[in-house]
Amino acid sequence: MSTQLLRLFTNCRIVKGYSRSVICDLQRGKIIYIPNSLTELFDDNNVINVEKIRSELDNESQLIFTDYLKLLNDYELVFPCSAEELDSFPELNLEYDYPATISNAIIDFDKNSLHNLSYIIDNFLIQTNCRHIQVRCFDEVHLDFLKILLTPVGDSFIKSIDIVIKYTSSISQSQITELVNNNKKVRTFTIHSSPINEVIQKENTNSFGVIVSTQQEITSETHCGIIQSGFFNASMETFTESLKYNSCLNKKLSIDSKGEIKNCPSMKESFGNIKDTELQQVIEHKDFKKYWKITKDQVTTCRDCEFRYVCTDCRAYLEDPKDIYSKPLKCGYDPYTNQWDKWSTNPLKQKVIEYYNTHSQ
Amino acid sequence: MRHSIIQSESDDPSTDDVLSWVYYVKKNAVVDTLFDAYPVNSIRLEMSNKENLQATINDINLDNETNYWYRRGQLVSYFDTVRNGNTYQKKMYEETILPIQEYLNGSIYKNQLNRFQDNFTNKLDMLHLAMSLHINIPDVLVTDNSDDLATFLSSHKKVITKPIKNPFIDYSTKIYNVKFLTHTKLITIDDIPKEAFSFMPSFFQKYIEKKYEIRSFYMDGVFKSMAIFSQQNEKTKTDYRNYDRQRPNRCIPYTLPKSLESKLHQLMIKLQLNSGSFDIICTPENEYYFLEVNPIGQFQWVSKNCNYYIERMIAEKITRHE
Repeated sequence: MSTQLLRLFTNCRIVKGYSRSVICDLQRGKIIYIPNSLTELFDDNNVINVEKIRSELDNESQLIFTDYLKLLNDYELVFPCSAEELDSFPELNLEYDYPATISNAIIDFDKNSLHNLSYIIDNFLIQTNCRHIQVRCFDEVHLDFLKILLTPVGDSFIKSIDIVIKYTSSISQSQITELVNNNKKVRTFTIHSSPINEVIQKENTNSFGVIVSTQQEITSETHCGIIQSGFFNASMETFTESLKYNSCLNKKLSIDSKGEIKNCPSMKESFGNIKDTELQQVIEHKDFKKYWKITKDQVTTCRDCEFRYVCTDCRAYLEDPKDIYSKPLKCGYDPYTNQWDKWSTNPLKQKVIEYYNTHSQ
Repeated sequence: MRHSIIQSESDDPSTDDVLSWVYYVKKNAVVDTLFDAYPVNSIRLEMSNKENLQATINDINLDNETNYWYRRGQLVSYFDTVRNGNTYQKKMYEETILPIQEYLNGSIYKNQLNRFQDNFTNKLDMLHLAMSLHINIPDVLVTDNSDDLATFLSSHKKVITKPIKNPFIDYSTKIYNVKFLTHTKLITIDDIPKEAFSFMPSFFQKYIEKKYEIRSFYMDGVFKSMAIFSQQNEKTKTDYRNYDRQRPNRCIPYTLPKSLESKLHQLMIKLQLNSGSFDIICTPENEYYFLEVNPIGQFQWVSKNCNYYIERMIAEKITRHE
C-alpha cells in the first residue's frame, strides 16, 4: 500500500472559526464540530497525509490523532485516496445561481390588511419567477380566509407555501389537517400563540405537509431575525449563496401587513404600496437590492464565526443600528468563547432593544 | 424569433426545473409543451428546397430552426385506435401512419436534444459497440439454458442479472395498473432452475468489484461526472438504486480520464445519442468498466450533489436559436 492519504469528500466543507471549526456536510445536511487543531491537519487540497503526520507526533498526540481519524470515519467525511487519484476528484463548484429574480416572498396579513394573494401572484410573483412563498397572519383568521388564500396557489406555478396563523378556537385541528392534506403545496403550517407546543402532523415523503403549533407569539413583523442553531441550514444552496450573497435578503420580496413592498417586512424602507406600485419600479429601485450582497464575511464578529455560511443572518435588527455591517442583534452566540447566551437579557444589548422598540412603526 | 418545444410528462420535476431556467436565461422565450400521451389531432408536413421544412402539429408550427427537447412522454396519433384493430386495420396503420409517426419521433430539428427513438436504444447494441471501441465491459451471457448459466457462474464466481430493456415496467389492463421495478440482482447457484432445463432468454453479466461507481451526464461531448461511494453500505453494494435515505451514499464531482471520455463520445456518436447518462464502474485496480448509457435518465441528482447546474445547461441548449 502506498502512502495513505485521506481526502475530505468535496461536499463536506470545513469552515474555520476563531475558536473551533465545523464541517458542513452539504449532502446530508449535518454540521459536525471539530477542533481547529484538526482543521490544520488538512493541507490546501483538503488531504490528510496519515503516515507523515504520525511520524511527526509524540505518543500522547498519537492517541488524539487516532480519535480524530475515528471521528472523520464515523461521519464518513473522508475517503482513502492515492496521490495519483487526487486529480480525479475535482474541487466542488461553489458557484451560486438561481433561476429567478425573486426566489422567495413573504406576505404578511393582520386584521386590517387589504391585499389579496391572487393579485400578488399575478403581478409580482409570475414575472419574477418566485415559486416559494410564506404567508404570515398576525391576527386570528377564519377558515374561509385560508381556503380563499390557497385557491390560487393550487393551480399556479408556485411550488411551496409556508403558512403561519394565530391560534384560534374557531378552527379545529382536524379542519387544519384536512386543509393541509388537500393542498399539496403547503410545506409547513405553523400555529403561533398556541396554548401548547405540538407537532400535529409530521412531514410526508416529499417533506411537505408539516403542521406544528407553538406557544411563541408572532403577532408582528418584529418577531423575526432570531439566530439559533435550529435554523442553521447546511445545504448546498444556503452554503454557496452565503459565500457571495446575504442568506436572508438576497432575492427576497416582502409585502408587509399594510401592503408596503419591502425587501424585508421588518425593515423600514418601503418601495411603494402594492395598491399603486408596479413591480418594475421596485426591482429597479437602487436601494431594493442594497443588502443582497452583504455576506457574513463582511459582518463584524460573524466573520470569525464557524457558522457563517449556514446561518440565517438578519440585517433588520443589528447590535449597532447605524452600522449595516454589525452583528445581528438577536444572536446570542459568541464565536470567541463558543457559548450561546440569551440575547434578550444581555445587558449590553438593552439600549439597542430599546432603540428598536421606540423606532418600530 | 425561434421557439422551443418540450416534450415530456406533466409530473416530471426535471422538466419543471429546466423550464424555470428557460424563462430565467431567456426572458422572452416562447415554449410549447407536449405533455404525456400528447394527442396529435392534425398533422401537416411540407418540404421544399426553397422553404425547407414546414410542419404543423395541431396548431403548433415547426421548422428546421425549432429548438426541440425530448424528455419523456409520447405522441399519440388519432389513428392509434386502428393500430389495435383487426388485421386489415393494423396493416393500414403500419403502411400509412407509422412512417409519419416514426419521422416525428426522430431527429428533425437542427437543434434537438434527445428524441423519442432514444427510448429504444438496445442494451446489447451498446455493449457490442462499446466492445468494438475497446471500452471495457463485464463479460455478458444471454442464455435460456440452465447448464450454460451454471458454467458461466462457476467460471466468473459472481454473476448478476438485470433486465435487457427497461427496468421500469408499466402494465395496464382495464381493471388494474401494475408498475414494477427490477433492480440488478446477484445470481447464486440456488437461483438456477433445476427441474426446468431452460427458461426465458435472460441477461447475465460478470459481477465487477467496485471501488466506486460513476454516473456521468453527457451532452454534446461534455461530461459531468459524479463518483458514488456505494461500497460502504450493504444496501447499495450491488445496485446503488437501493437508496439509503438516512445515510445516502457519498456523491462527489469526478473527472473521467480524457481517453475514456473520448471513447465514450465515439460511442454516443455511433448510437446517435446527443445526450444520456452513463453508468460506469471503477474497480479497486483503477480499471473502468462501462455498464450502460441511459438516454432518458435522471440527471438532477448528479446536478444537485455536484452543483453542476445541468438544468441551466439544458435550458441554454434548448433556447439557443432565440
